Amino acid sequence: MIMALRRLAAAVALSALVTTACGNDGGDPATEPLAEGAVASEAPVTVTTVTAPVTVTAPAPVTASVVELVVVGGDLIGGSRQESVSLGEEVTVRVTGTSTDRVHVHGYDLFIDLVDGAGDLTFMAVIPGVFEIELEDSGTLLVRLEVT
Amino acid sequence: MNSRAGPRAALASVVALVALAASAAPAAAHGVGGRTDLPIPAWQLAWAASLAVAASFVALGMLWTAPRLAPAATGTPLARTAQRILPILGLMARLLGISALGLVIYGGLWGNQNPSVNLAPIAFFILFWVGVQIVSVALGDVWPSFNPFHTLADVWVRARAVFTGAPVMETVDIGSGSGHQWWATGAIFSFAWLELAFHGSDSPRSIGVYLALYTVAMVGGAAVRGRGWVRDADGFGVLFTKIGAMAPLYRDRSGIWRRRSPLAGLSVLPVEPGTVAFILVVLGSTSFDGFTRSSIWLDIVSNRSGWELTTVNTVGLVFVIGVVMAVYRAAIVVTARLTGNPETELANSFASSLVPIVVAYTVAHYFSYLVLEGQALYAHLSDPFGRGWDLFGTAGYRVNYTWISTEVIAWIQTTAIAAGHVLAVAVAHDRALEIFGPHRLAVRSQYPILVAMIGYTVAGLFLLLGA
Repeated sequence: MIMALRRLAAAVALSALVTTACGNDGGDPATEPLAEGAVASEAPVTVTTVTAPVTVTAPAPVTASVVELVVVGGDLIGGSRQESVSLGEEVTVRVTGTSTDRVHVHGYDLFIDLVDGAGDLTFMAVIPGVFEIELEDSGTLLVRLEVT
Repeated sequence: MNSRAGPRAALASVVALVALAASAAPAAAHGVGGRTDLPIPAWQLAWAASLAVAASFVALGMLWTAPRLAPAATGTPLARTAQRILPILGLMARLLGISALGLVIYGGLWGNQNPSVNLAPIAFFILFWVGVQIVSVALGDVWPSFNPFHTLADVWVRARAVFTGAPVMETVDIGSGSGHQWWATGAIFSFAWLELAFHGSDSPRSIGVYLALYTVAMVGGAAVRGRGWVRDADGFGVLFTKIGAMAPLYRDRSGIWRRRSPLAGLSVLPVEPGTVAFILVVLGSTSFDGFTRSSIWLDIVSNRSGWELTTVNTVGLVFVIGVVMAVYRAAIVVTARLTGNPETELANSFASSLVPIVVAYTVAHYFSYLVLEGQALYAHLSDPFGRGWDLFGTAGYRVNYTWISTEVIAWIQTTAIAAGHVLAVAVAHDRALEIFGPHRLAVRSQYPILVAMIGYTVAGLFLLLGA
């Protein structure tokens, strides 16, 4: 129950920015090399990706998500929470507030060095699983990011 | 439960840990903080739960009517060639065990403190803790061959014999152990606390400090109480021995390797004071780990960090262990009412039937760590301390998270829990036949235990839901 409500809340909060993403859908992200979880700059030589015919069946897929985090005095406003994104999506973590800590996206092992409490990071969600996003030095858990 | 040494041992370990781990840099909570598994689909939960429950009742009516495991516990010796090769492997295993311990302690204390480039977290929490459990299920109680604490205790006792002039063999053999497993229970709780409650659990330094302390406790204890101490107090060894009893291979008292039917070893597993608590602490710890992935727990720990987080985690860990213990206790009390047997006798008799559930929980919660995060060891081989070395050219290896799909992981998780349940019920059935004799009485005596096991199994599945 709680879970369902959370998901719903998360979905609303996600303010799912649908950027025009022609390149990346269709291609099975699982077959792409995991380039440190970062931007898929090196186009993989695998056959599938770009030339795949435009899929008409599925409803327009959400291809980008923004996770907005407001961190004040070492605490995430609203408390630690769960967010869900789709595998292969482009995820932006955007932090504002007053924290001087670093933000760590586990598993992908990416960091955001906050400057004046703010910073952001964009990466491709190519590893399925649940990943903690936390304040590195204090160890405060901000978000559990579920990539499905 | 029926001795005062237990709580004292546990308390002592916790106090020592808290005191020394305070030096560790605060980092992520939870042993290996990379990737955790996705929640399993609800239909898979329903599938596994109903299979387990159905199998339980079918089993009661249809399983064997006379004890089978104990008669099969002796087994038959392996071929002579195997008997010759295994001692050579044994020596290699000892060297491997002692060097691995040294590497992890050194790396933890003095290596790069970034957990993702230091070998300590993965080597300790995944290769050792999860890996040895899984190997033990398949190959038997292999840990004594590697156990560096045994090796160190041996060296210590022999060295002392040289200096004091006492005959070596006698000194090595002194002390047959403490006759209880409360120290081991304290030891395994201290490990669970480090992995699951302590906020600096993935900091290499806290692992180094922990293992150094653990080594001192093992070798020091052996020096005072004799070699039997390591066998009784090494919580890891005690656990691996129990799990290894499920395997189709074992080494008998004269050192001969034999094969026997799987699970048979559980029927002859020694149960001492503290054994029941030991098994339930392990089961409760793994359950707590599952529980921390739930959104309920996320609300509880929300925004907490440092020692505040550790405190909340510790309360949660103790609470979940308490619940797991209470369930078993309740089942035993009801069984005692039904059959008139003393509670302690019943609690001890059925304890070994929980071992398959322990293994199932381990597989369900940690299998993906082993095959995914465990790959990082390949890179750590070349640069164990995170110093930028590349000894074997593997330092650049990155974990391939697509080795197994999330669907396969989910199936392995649910199948493990369901299979563990079925095996547990089978063992409990066999135990009941041994205690109660007549089939009908034995079956009746099993209902409360069966209900407890269904509880563990369904709870274990719910924990995989992450809800």
